[in-house]
Amino acid sequence: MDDWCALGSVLLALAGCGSSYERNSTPSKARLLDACEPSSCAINGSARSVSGITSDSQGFVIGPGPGRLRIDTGESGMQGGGSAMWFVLTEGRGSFQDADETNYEVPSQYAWILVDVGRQGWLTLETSDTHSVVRVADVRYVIHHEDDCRIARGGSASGYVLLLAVLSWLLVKGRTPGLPRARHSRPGSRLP
Amino acid sequence: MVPELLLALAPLGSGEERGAGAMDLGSQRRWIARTAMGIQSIADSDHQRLLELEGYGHYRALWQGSFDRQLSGPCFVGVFGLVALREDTPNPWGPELSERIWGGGLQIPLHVFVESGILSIVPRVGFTSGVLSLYDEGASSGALLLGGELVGVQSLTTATPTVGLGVALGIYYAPVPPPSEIGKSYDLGGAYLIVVGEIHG
Repeated sequence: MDDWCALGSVLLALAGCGSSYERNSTPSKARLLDACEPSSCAINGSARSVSGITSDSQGFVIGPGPGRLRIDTGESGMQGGGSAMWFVLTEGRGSFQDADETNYEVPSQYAWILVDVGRQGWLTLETSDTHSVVRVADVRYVIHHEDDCRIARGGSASGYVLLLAVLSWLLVKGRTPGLPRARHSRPGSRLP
Repeated sequence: MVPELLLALAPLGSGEERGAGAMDLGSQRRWIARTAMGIQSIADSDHQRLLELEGYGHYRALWQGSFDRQLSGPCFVGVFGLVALREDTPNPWGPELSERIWGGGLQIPLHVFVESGILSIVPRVGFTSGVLSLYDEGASSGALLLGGELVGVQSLTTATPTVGLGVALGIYYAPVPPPSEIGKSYDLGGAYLIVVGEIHG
């Protein structure tokens, strides 16, 4: 069912009739960095709190030198059985690692990076060398309610025709669609 | 040749006015007061691109005012002031971004009086200051302002002082240092299109 759900999302998006993924996704409701407190955002080593996209907002810089920023992901809560995807708006140089020690290259210009939180309950950004610098402007999550998959209303006729054509072709061919679900997105993917 | 050119540039509206304008040229200096409002596209900068990644837009509302006094012929000198504002809530969600910009300075315009109005080229230099904030506690930063605008105004009355309405296309640059520690270079300026109200005598 999940595979059909993912396929439907992609096809609907391609057909211009609206993605059910977007309709069933809930973005985080605050600039999480601005709500940071010592209990929810822990910094170690070279990591430090600085002003963010404006002088009255908050950001973080990690490096140069080993340092770590950990943000409590408890707020995302996995409500309703959804899966949360965490994005970090960052730039700098070098690389950082997450809690599972997966390596991420830091973009030289600000860009959204999809970071894997895993089951740690913390979003962890860590530098371990003396060269890397990571500037963090924002952190957001999006909860995707997978149980709520449905074909969006209001789509164009051409969209439905295309959807039916592709589904018919798949049935004729006897294939089982196996598109990856959103929560399996690879770390390092950019926010569209 | 030059006096003839000045006579050709100076007249207003009807033939009588044109003659009066020519006679006034040496004895009475003209003045032009303008007010304008419109929309400004924020100048491209690294910090503006960062704000756009956060979902914020790239337009400001702009108000301007100016007063010019004739030096000789089409050459005027004047002062101007401007206010630019943006209140922007990002897509999909986030705190409202507030930006307030004030500016002012000197301008040395060329105003060419044509049959039905005035065409102007207005170079400007001045100083501008702006505050960018998410929670109404942003710090201000200031910069030198350089720019100019092209203005076309249609006269609506023939009596003096004359009222006119027109449009202006302009741009100014005012690069400032990064507005925050993780910020990037920013510009308080940009290109703009405004509706101009004018009175001149």
